[in-house]
Amino acid sequence: MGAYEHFGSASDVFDNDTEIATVYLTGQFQIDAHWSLDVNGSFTNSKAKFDPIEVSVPEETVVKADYDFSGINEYSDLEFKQLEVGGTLNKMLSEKASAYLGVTYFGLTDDAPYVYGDVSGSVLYTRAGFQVRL
Amino acid sequence: MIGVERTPISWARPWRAGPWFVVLVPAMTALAIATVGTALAGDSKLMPPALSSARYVGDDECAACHEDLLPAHESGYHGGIEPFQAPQGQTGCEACHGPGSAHAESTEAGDIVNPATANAALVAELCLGCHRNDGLDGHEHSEHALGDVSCAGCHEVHGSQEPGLLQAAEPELCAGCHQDVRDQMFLPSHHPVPEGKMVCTDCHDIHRGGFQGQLVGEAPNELCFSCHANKQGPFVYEHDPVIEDCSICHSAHGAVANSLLVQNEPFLCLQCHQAHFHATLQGIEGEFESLEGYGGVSHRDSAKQAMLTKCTQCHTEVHGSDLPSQSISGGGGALTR
Amino acid sequence: MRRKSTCAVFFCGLALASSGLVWAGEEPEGSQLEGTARLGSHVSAVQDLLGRVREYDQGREELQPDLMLELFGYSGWSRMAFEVDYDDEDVLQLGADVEVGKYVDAEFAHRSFIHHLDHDRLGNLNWREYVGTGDQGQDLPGGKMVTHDDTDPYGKYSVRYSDTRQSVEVAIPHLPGTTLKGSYRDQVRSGTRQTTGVDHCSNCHVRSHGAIVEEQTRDVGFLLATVRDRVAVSYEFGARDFANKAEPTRNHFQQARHPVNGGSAEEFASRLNYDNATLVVSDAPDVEKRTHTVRASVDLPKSQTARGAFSYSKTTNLDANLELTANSAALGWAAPLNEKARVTASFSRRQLENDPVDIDMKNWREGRAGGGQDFDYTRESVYDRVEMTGTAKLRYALRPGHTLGLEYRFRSIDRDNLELDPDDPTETQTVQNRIRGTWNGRLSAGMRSRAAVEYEMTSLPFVNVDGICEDGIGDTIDPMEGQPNNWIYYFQRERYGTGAAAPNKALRLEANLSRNLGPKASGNVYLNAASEKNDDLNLFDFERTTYTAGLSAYLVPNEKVVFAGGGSIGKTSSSAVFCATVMDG
Repeated sequence: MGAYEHFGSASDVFDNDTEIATVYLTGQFQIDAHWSLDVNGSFTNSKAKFDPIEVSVPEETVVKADYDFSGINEYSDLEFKQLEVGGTLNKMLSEKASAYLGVTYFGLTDDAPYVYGDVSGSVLYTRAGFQVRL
Repeated sequence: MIGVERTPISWARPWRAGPWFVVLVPAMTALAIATVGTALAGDSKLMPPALSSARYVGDDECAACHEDLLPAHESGYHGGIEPFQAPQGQTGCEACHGPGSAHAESTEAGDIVNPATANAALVAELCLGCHRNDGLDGHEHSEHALGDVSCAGCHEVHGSQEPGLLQAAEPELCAGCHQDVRDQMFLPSHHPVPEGKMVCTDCHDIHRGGFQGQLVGEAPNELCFSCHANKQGPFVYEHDPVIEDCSICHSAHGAVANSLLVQNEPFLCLQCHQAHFHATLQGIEGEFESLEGYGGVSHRDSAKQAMLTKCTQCHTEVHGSDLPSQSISGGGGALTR
Repeated sequence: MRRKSTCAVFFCGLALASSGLVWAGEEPEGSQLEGTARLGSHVSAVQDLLGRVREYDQGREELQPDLMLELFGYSGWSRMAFEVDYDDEDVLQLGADVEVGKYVDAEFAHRSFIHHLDHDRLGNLNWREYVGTGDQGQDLPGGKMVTHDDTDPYGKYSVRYSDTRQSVEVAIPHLPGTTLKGSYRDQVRSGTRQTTGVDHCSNCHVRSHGAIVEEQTRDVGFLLATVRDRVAVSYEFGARDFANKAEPTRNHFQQARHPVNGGSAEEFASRLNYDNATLVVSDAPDVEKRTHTVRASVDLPKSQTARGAFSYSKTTNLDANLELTANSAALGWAAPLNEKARVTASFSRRQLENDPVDIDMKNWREGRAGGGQDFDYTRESVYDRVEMTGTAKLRYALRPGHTLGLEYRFRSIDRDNLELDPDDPTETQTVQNRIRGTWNGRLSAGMRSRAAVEYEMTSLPFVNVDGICEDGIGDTIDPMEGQPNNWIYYFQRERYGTGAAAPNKALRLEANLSRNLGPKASGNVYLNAASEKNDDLNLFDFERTTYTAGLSAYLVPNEKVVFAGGGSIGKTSSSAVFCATVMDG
């Protein structure tokens, strides 16, 4: 066998699976004549991966090459968990004016970092102010 | 396996493949003939029968019983229509509800058109009398028309603070029926619809029949290019699926993979392309350095990691390019530059 | 300067509206103004990375104003709606709709937001070839290697997207139903992104750059439309100009040579179009597009309607001087059969023609033994095609509240330059037949359901013929005239497998059930499923199955509490064939 011999191709049929699951909930509570509370939350779990690949090549065919592809499916696995939880408290100051205070947490967990590294992160978003009907 | 054996190819035409086509073509032809014949010969009026002899009585007559509707109507868009704005010449309540004399006399609901409950085709016919040129030509061909979704199903014609007299703001209004699309927007990669930076009708022409999904524009790709004009081309070096249909690679409503990719790389690419031939090679265990001083740590499977993780690290210009790639053997079209 | 120009159309409209020309007739009395104002502040606390968890949010950790103003009003014939929503200097939403004197309707809308882009660390690009084990058990390195460097390792990439739209619609006095409309849209994308340059063939080196993004797309539109009696006619002109204003990113392509000993420079360079040069990379061309569209529709007797449209467009790549022309024509007809049944039929044809390009390449291994082959060729475009679509739809009201729909669609795409059948290069036409049935029903008071079933059959769908799987020695494939497939080890060998991600058979189902229990409770459940397959491939059967199921509910347990919630699950499985070259080199 000389260098750079070429024998053809080895192949395997494989599947890619994407799985997603989402739940969400919102609620509005009129606590009394002046106070009300809006809450919202959602959780999403998403995964994408493909099956391990198996190709068979007679060992004597090649010397330097490696046809064990069983681990390559893990290079591009994706798995994210996203959580959003928030609430806004409203206080009616008059018939036309109200004040609000809202807090929302956004979180993303990267359980299978890809080429971008671990992109996990979270944000706590707070807002407050007044609203007037003109 | 080596040198995969080729299987016989059967490039069957659909009309060769199954009897359904043989049945369908005559059936559709018969339907077309029947349609033409019936339409020309039959009475296809959708209006309630009582309206055929009714006359117009004016808004004051309507207000006598429906006073509660007047404030919103009069301050709303339709309440202020002047005759010169109405191609049919009729304004006021009866422009949409039809001549009201029969209903005024009988007070029967069936003696007047009520768009809130009427057949969607009748409602559309009434609305299109004025709005046909407002991007509504071809409404009869739309999925909404076929699905019996009436204009009044989305619009509050007596008055609304939402643009276009919508019953509610987008995307909430659309999500009321299209829950599956709303759920896709929760995925990590999505257009900024939940964030309020886009709305459904930026992409969907919900009034007109068009391409699949009632997309805006002359072809699906043209819609995408209206915002992503840097992908538009035409380019010297093309990537066939970009020309064919953006949705071959991208899932517009949401995806797990970055950039709305239907699947992550390299699987997406491996569906049409084979693995880079260097992926079969092994790597040394340990540090190395190139002549130029670049290097790192190599492992046994490092060639596989390099070649089978993300194709666009090298083939960056997958949407097309005018600049030739470096390799002569690839004809300059490897889309790496 | 830009702000002045972007607002020009809107303010021209207002000026026109304010002129005496448009005041006609007796203006009614009465006025009203209402709205909402919000004055507050917001702040974000960010932990770890912001870019993915809030892809479209600045996430500023300094206190920012939270300003919003909405106004609606009318006075006489004039109406006005105004909206401003300010988050920070990069996230802004503006809107105005002013209707003055019944003849002029001017609209203005602006939105801007940030889109964070990821930064590829390229950490997987470290490889030195292993060719065996030495006498002391050490790894023997070969010549091949992959390396990378990042010229902007701390770069945080994002693009600010700004979209401003304006339009003015003028109703022509004394011509009822006739309107003129002018529109202008200005999109600007500015920021930074990542791009890479790769040295091919010798030392495989990938270099990352932070690239400037400065793109502008301007759309100018003009519409003249009229409705007279039963006929509606319109003409629309559209002009789009895309300008890439960024200073191009340049990459230095190193001198091609043996990665280890630095020799054989001439041999390596003879396989490349260029080396040892600093060249522009990833540069989107300036493009202009001009579109002319004529539409007409007519109301025929018996509540029938007919419509037709013709569109011509020319898209020009100004950098490469390439022209793509498109001619589209569409016809449609709709008619009620009776009070229960309605049919529609439509047909469209679209023809695309793109300029061919003569590609002038260096000869392959010029001056080397066995080399000198001419690689010049003409790039014939895959754009060149004729697409035809025919659709027939029947909607039939079974009884009040129950509608049955039947749709048949024929689609043909005949491409001039894309092979679809490995055994017959002349086969370039995709033919698709689709039948779809829908049902909308009110099962009982408050219960509504929708269901659809669709079957699609495609002859010669879009595939990549000979895209995968190389043949071995001695096979008949002849990549370079007169040479066997194993002759040039570094040459791209010919393949015989067809890769695909498009089905030739597809069955898709949708079901949706809503239950309304009055104003205090409602629920919805849906299921979507699809089974797609391409069993006309020569190596494998492509299969893709998808299902999504979800439910949602709305509940008002008492007058002070409202709940809405839901959830969904979904799974998609898609198959492909993995082909690895079996070679020893």
